[in-house]
Amino acid sequence: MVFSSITFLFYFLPIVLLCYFVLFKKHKNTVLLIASLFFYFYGEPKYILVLLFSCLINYVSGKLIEKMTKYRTLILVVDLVISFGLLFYFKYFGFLVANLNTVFSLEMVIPNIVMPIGISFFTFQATSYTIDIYKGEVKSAKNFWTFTTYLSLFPQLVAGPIVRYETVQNELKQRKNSKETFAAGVKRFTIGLAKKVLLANVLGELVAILAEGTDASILSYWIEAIAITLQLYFDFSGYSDMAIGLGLLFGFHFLENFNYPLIAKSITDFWRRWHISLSSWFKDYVYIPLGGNRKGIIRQCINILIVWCLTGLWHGASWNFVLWGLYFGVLLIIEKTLLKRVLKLHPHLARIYTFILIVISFVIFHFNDYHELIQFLKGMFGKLTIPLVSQETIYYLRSYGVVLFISLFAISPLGKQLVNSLAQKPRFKRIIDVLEVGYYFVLLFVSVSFLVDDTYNPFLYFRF
Amino acid sequence: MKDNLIIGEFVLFIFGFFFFSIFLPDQEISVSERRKLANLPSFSMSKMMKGDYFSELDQYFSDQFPFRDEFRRAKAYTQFYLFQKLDNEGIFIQDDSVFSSLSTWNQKEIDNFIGKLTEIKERYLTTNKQIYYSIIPDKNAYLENSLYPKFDYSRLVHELNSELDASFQYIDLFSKLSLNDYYRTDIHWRQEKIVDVASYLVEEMNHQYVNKKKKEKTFTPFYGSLYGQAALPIQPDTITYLTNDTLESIQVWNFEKQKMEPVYQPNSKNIDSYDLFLSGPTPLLEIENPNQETGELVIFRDSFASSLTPLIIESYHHITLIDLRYISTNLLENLVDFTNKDILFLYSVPVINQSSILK
Repeated sequence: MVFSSITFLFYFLPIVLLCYFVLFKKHKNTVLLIASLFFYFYGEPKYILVLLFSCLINYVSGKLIEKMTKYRTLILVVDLVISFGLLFYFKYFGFLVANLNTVFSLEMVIPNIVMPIGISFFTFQATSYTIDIYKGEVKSAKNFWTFTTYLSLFPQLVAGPIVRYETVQNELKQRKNSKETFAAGVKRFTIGLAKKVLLANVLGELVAILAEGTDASILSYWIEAIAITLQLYFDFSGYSDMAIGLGLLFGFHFLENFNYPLIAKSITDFWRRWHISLSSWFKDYVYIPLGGNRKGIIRQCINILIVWCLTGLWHGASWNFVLWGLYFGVLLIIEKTLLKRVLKLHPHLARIYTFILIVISFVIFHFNDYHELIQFLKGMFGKLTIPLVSQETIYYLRSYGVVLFISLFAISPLGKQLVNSLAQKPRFKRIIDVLEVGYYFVLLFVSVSFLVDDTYNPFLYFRF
Repeated sequence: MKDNLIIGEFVLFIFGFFFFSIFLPDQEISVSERRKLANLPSFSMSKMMKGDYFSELDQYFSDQFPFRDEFRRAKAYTQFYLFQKLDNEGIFIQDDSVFSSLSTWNQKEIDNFIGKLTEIKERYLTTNKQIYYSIIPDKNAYLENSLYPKFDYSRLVHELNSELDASFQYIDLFSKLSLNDYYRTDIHWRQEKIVDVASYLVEEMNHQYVNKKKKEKTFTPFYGSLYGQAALPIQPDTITYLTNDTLESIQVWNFEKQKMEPVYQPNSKNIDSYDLFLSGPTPLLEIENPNQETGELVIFRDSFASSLTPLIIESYHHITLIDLRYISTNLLENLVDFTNKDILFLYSVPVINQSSILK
């Protein structure tokens, strides 16, 4: 089930809210647990067992690490082997076999394994739990059901953000459901829904149309590349907004996952703003344990490349994701060793430089097929015999111009800053309050109208 | 206060439609979308474990969502007026007429069309002296002063003329039509506007066109296939069909249904009212006109021929209509006798550009 669906918005959510706030308000965690398991079961009936197995293994490991201090390292290693083993089997085993076949000219049958939705997210969440217990940073969950509620919590179950146990451990025990947090949740959820349905999906249509076009031009390649980038951003950050908003409806405060990454002033800055829960996971559980920047520049560069190779692989069992990760690894090394000062001196140029490199990165991200990727990059950089502009390009630029403009405006906090500054002035505050109430209703209504007539609604990050 | 309002509108909205969905009766069909809507799926454990049950449930919830047409309309307004898009899901309105998606040149499909015609000729038409073909332009061909990219119609004509062998004789219809000859809400041409096209086609095939006096009958409202896709408030069309005693007396043999049917069926219960012409989409029809002693014609056709053929029935003794979208070329061997008959391939541009649907 996806958040941006009629089923979720008009059946699942009202029923859960009704049970949570009215019918069974003394058993809120139980309501959330049952709702979350049903939410997962709805999308992956069989793989609910994988999720429950992951819950069981990590819950038991957490308890054992705490109680059997003598064997705690062994227990952690076993836990990580099982957890990542599951992830490896479902996500990477077929990829490994295919590559072994290629490298060694073998003819092994490539297993057709369907990946459980969200396995990368809940595996990383579960392992962060056991590692944090091992490091003494958190205490284990009170009981199995509390831990299962945490790991399967439906707002963040299938596409993040990766919520660490320490973030919600207190709220799992006791949380305040106030009018303010509920309203904040509604606003955040609505914004996320609109980002996904009104921007990401519409940009996705543009990407699909241009990909099938027969009248390509250099400009159309660039428009498609920018649309790919914007689509990914609004798709994933929209989902995170909805997850954070839903969390607020039920009294949970998840950490931010995006902070206007497409206006970053460097690639280093970009990764502080994009998918923050993933990059901080890799930083805390891979980069720092490897030595981080404490063992000299060469070792730091190696650590960076390892982390970014893994970050790429996390996104999918395909070489383009590895290439995508390494691309960022190399850029980060170049920035740390050569460009740091230059980028600070020229912030506007730095933003343009970063945006262009990000756009290229998401082109790499988008194409699984190496030949298609090369062809696309050639198209972008004028290496194909195509015109600068074509009739088709003008048409689609004209047709999607407003959506592109809104999208480019929405990647920056300008709108939010403007509204906030106006709201500070007493004479505007009342008008803005009234407009805000209407704004959220209109966003919700229009988003639903797009959902009712939807032909394009995949969540890109579901495949991870 | 503001928070209360924001919470209130959200809760009212999702709970309101939750209860509407539960208590409003399900609809069987969507008139505007001209399709059957999903019903509540039957439950089985195996279907649920495969995930099929929940997929069907999603479809059901979406199809039966209250005020579906109004929401679709809101989306169309947003696309056109807020986002200033030139089309909504490939549909746009110009000069009070609805147009379908932009046709992009599809070389593979066009090659396939040429291959299909050549294959039929080599298999079945080796002794036929006269093979004609004609291209029916879609109404986009007559759009003027438009930003919408146009299909390269002259290239299509040139490509077919140069790739098909000399036994295929081309009859040009482009100059015989105008935008006014098409329905506003549908892709098809209007029968009452194409009498001159019918006579031209017959005469170009070296046959005498017979046109006895006909009266106009109407069917209204006609919600064309583009009407629902547009999702905007547009006046529906009226189907006007031309008939007389001869046409009303002629019976058509419908191979699929294995029975005789009239030329026009205005009381047909089909969702698409255009199906009143010659039983709508069907693989093979045989029409015999006892009032005419000569002339036998086989038409390989798509839906455009359904409204055109009644206008030429009086000119021929026997007409066979073959729609390869619904019958395989291989089956024709035992079903159709092509000997000494005139052959006409009559296809619209969208079908030629998507010819892999021809079996």
